[in-house]
Amino acid sequence: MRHHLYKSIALILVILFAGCEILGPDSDPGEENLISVPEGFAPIPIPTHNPVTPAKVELGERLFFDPVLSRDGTVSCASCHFPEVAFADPRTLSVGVDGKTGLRNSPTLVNIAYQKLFFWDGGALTLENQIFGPLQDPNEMDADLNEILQRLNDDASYVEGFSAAFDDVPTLQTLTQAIAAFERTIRSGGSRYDEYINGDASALSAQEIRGLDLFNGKAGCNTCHSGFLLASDTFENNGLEFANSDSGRARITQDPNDFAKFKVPSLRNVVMTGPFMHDGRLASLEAVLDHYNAGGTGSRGQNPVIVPLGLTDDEKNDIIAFLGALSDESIMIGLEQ
Amino acid sequence: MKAFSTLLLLPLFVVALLLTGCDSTVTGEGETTTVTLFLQPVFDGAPLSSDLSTVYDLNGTAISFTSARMYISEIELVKADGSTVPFETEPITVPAKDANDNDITHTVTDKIVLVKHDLGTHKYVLGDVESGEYTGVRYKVGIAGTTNRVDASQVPANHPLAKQTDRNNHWSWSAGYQFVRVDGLVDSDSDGTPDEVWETHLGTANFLTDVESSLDFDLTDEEAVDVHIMLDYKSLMQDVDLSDPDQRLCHTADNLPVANKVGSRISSSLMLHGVHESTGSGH
Repeated sequence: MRHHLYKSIALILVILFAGCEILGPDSDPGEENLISVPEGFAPIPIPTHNPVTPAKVELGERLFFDPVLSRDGTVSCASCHFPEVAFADPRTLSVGVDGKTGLRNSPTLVNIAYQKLFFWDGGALTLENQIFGPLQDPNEMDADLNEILQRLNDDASYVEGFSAAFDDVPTLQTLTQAIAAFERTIRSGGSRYDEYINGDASALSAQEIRGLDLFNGKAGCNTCHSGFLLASDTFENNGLEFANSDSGRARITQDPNDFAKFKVPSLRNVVMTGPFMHDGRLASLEAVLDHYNAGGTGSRGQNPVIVPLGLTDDEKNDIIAFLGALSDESIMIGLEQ
Repeated sequence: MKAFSTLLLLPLFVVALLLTGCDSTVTGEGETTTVTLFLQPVFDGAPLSSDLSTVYDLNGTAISFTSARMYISEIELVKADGSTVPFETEPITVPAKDANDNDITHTVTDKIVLVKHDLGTHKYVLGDVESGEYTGVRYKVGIAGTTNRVDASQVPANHPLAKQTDRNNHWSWSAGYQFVRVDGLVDSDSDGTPDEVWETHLGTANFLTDVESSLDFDLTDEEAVDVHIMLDYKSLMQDVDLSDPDQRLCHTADNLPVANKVGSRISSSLMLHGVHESTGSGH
């Protein structure tokens, strides 16, 4: 009898302590990951509070391409993240409302779901929260959040879309969740380089293979650009001349050791995502190779790993040829494929 | 039979005990008193108007305010025996990043107050405390630790940490909350009329400020009290020369000299000047 008493008390304790625990808004560890990934890629990380659903992704895609989110209705997310160039921006600096420009070039959004921190300086902690950056920047979409929510709530088709996706009206929470859910589906891993590392030795030309060897060897590009994204979750000072008072990561951390450090970008589709560097200052891959081959400019805080490489013109061409093999002409978006 | 009754009652007793434990309000053997924070905004001792066109003299420069906001957190009353009584609220669990930038969920139970003096709101209900003798108040200006690394976009809209729609309380370009947000217009051409924007936005752990004020008060006979704290915005801004264009814009990291001038004044610009019977409802 005493044994049963202990068991019933234990059961009550379990039930009551479970009742005191407040679970996350969308906690569902059994949620199926609906986003397919290329061979060799890790599963797309999906936050438990924002599970992917077809309705949410569809809504997010519509919002991504809709200039209704900007102050004057002229600029959408896609205005600076062009699908035809791997969701990057071919202009040196991205252009916002009234033709204003900021300090930086818009980075590619391809495979954005794998990133830990967002913006060139890692200032945004989550994909959902980063949406406020361009949305509210006076040089980008310059949106008044109340006004944006009012517009969406006044649009019956959006009200219907939010209801289908969230069983809720447009709010800051649902707006950011929808766009982030769509952005997580932008992915790419179908390049000839992928075919090569997945076993097709004929996928790369002899020049491209020489370039790959240089990339991983004499040039040492893989010191920072590695893994299936050819990137790293770090911020580095690659020896560019300091410009526009943009202190990069140091602006976020207030750590002088982070002066002029910027996120190491993925090199996938790099042929499509120029101009290069955080402010688009280098127009071509040739200019990028020249910068690294010269060992940077010796600017304040330059990472000591940036040293003169001694690459010949032929070797630089080999590396550029290899970088071309990182292009994927069929970048995936949405839940299809 | 008696033993059987005891067995039946024991689980019920445990249930009652644990349900009491789930209650977020402070309970004790004695009576409780509802405490409201009355944060009175002043400029050089005179009430700060929520009329945004009101002009003030800051060290000889005419200025006005469009924003006068501040986060106050980890508020505690200090009891006569030296122990402290914190205030808690309905927990929220939201996405956040840990110190290594890993995704986590974080539960916030602290009663956080977002002061909105520019909207004319001054009173904030903190909760109930056990009656007794107290000797002071402690709190932080700002948001500490992981709570300052939550995803503001995912905080329920009615919570003070939620992304505000009227003006930023959380940087859109960086992690964390704006602990202090004061801005307005400044007279740039010496005609007495404020005409250019000034902005002072403080945040990050470097500017998290502990404030402690001593004052003996007895909550034995009161059902509800207001803790009166005066916030003097002139005192807060007194070291900043807004006639200097280089001191007009400060978003913490982009103008650390001004950030340090304001940050060092936070504690001394807040004064506890009384605990009185409550005069009305708060937010």
